[in-house]
Amino acid sequence: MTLKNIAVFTFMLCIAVTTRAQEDTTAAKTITLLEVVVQHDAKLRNSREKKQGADLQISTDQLLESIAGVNMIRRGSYAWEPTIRGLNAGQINVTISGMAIVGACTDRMDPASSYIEPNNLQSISVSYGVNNQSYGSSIGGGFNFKLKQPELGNEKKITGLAGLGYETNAHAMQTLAAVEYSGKRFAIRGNGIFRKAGSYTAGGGEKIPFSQYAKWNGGLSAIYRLADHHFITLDYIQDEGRDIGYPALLMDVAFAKAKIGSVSYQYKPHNKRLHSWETKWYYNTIDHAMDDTHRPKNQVSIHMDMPGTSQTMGFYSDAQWGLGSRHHITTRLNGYRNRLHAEMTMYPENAAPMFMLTIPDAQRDVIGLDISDRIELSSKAEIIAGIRTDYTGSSLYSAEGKQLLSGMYTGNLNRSRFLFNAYVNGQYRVSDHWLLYTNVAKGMRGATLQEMYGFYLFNRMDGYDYLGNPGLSNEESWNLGTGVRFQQKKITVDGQAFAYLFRDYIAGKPREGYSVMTSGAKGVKQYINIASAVLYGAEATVSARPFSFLRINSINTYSRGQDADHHALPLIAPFKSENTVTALWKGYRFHTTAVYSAAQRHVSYTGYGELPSESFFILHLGAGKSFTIRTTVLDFNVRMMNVFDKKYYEHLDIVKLSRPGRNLEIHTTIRF
Amino acid sequence: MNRIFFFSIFSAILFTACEKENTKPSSLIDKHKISVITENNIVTTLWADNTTLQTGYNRLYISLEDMQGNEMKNAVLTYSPLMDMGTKKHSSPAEQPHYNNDLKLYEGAVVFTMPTSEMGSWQLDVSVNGKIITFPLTIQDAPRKNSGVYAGTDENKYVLALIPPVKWQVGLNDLEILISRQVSMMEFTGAEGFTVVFTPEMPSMDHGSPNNISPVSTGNGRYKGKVNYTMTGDWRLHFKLKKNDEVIVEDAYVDILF
Repeated sequence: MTLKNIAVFTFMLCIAVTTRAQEDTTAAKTITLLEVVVQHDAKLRNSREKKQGADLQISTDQLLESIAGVNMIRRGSYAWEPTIRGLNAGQINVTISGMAIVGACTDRMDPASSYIEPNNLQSISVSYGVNNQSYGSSIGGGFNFKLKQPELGNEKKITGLAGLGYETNAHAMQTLAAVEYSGKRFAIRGNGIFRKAGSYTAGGGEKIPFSQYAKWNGGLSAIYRLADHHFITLDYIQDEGRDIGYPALLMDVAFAKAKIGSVSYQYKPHNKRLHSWETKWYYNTIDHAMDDTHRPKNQVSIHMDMPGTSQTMGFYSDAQWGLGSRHHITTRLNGYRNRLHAEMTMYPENAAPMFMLTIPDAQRDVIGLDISDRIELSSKAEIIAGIRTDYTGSSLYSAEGKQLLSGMYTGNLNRSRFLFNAYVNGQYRVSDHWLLYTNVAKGMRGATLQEMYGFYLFNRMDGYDYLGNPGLSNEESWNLGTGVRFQQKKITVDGQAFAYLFRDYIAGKPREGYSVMTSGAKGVKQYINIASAVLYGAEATVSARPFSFLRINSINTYSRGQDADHHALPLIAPFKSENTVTALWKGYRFHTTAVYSAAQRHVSYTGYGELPSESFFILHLGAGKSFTIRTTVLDFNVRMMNVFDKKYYEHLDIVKLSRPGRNLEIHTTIRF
Repeated sequence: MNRIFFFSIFSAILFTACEKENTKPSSLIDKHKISVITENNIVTTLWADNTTLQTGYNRLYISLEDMQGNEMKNAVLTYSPLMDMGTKKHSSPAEQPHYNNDLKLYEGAVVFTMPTSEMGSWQLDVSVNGKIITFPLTIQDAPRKNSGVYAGTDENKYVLALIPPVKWQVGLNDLEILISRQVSMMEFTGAEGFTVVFTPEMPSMDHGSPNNISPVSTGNGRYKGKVNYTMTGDWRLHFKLKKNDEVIVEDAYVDILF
């Protein structure tokens, strides 16, 4: 019963990446969740929807950007920061197979997603708002990067892939490989990728200096069947970036390294009561160092070193239960401890070096319980209701950290908060073609450690130094959403509208009488709670297949936000429309993607330091073919990005840094 | 056998050596002996916080012993520093010593306003129960300006000196200064009644720090406040001295490095 029913209730969005992944959103997910399937091995090629190899050579950032409602904050070619419907950083949850991971950089140069490669991944789940898919309290939902697990008992014992790619703009190249062994009791998978790029050229021919990067990423996963229904799995990922330029910022990065490891125990009895139960323990550590030594002298008012570290250890225990035939219960207990340390040493020309902690050894402890129930009310209606409570403790773990903040605040700076999230999602199938869905949720999040304890963290966007505020209240929201879906054989149209009503919205406000720490900064801001804010918007997607050889995908998104002081909320993308036409002809795939973004005029310079952005229209072309020789598949993809070499930027791009101009990408992958 | 013999000799030497060290009062361990003078059947020893004396505020300690080695706790002491420049002589601000029971020393302080040089030499006259003992002193120039002499708009001359803390650290620190008024070439007194406006600055960064507390008078020319260092490095502490809303000294400053 389950599979079929889930399929009925399933809300599948097809994404118009550029024909890469859209055929593969087969996963059965609830209405607020979108899953992008990333990984493709030769063994999957017989699956019904499989038409071409997903291109593992594109970056995680580009994959994320292709998802409806997801916009990226861009500071250079590398490590873009994802936002969901304009919500970002502490407002969304980013996990890797359920593991909490927190970037170490004070300038947000290393979001968790920068330490993951498509080559590591099975899929990316995106949840919009509060629901039962996340591993923490949040307001804006989040991403869960599901690591690719090796599979037991495959017909082919050894499978794998190898790929090589080159891009003309920035002379970027990447080479990747993965190999998997599948036995009856034991399976193991290893994967690796190396990427290197020079500085790119923006549309119109302007060279963007300091936009280079190099990185490697390796992953190892193993699964062992202890007994029937009992499994133990191991995952390890190491990701090391080096010499990464951030042209939108004042500094680059010497290195950004992550080590991510976990062991989990899975019990899958598949009986009526308990479907599955997984318990995972994990640890990850990030080591990050900013670097200004390559910048020309006139850009560096004072040389400085800014390293930072982040360590997270945690666990979760996740069980799926059945209660009668109508209730599907998920319980999730999870907890973690994260420690952040960031420091800055400045070297003035004729004076002694200056040392300062910028995140004064801050620690976050979280323990949370999530219980949700998916209830099948009838063959036409289903609701998912759940609650999540978290206890979070924030503290300073070193004497130096406490001593530093003694100059800013009096008394004990440890804080503990309770968070409470609750959600009800419902959907009703009106007819074979029409589906209505709606969701109401209460979201809550605690302030991040940066927002609580950050010490003069420079924000390039508005040019202010930011001070934390240990007295921040939780940010809360009521999330409302509703949508309608029309589905026919040849066309699927989906439209939904959403609104987030915030209370105690966390934002930085100028603090008078404080002198700036960063030379050239406009002033000092401190995080405070703003009484209220509102964010609303809509998304419409169309997926049409008028003929068997032609597919049309369209994603249209719009959102708008405003706080209690009538300031437009920052980092909100304007109306954007991404349309892809894919044609199949004699085994060849051709696609063209047109992206239009309206201008963003609804900005607040006084409130958030944002300036209006111009509209743009760009076009991408692509072609591909897969050659099959026995059990080996050779994928060949060519893309011409930004065909007209337009000079453009997106509203979320820091300092309106121009994006790459025309770029020819050639990606080849062999799968066996 | 031989080895054991040597070992016991060695330990004996070591042991006696340690014992000798232990006879020094514990409070003296972190003080440095500057000079010893035996006069009038009293052994007078001058101690300081460092091995050398520098311009600025120096804590100076005296221990007194009679010829039998008994400590004398009830003497009356005064400090009179003197700069002899040949053609003229002058004194400098001092805080008169009192017996400190914890330290088991007489504790006072002197602000040396200039270093020893060809121009002139320093001496400290210590009066012990009315009898003067003279310690010739060498005062080195401090690597950073920690005191200064300022002509006030009220026609008075003032000396402002930073009273060095045990240790500076990032964050909030106690800050104490001594402001002295020159009464005559030979006499200084604690300057009272000032409103001090205090602002720290990092000269190489052109910024200050928030949440400082301007020093307020605690008597005898001492003023106590708080300084907030947001980072290590070079700091300059600016003091504006005001009386009845009138600026007497515009910018007395001291430099800090830690």
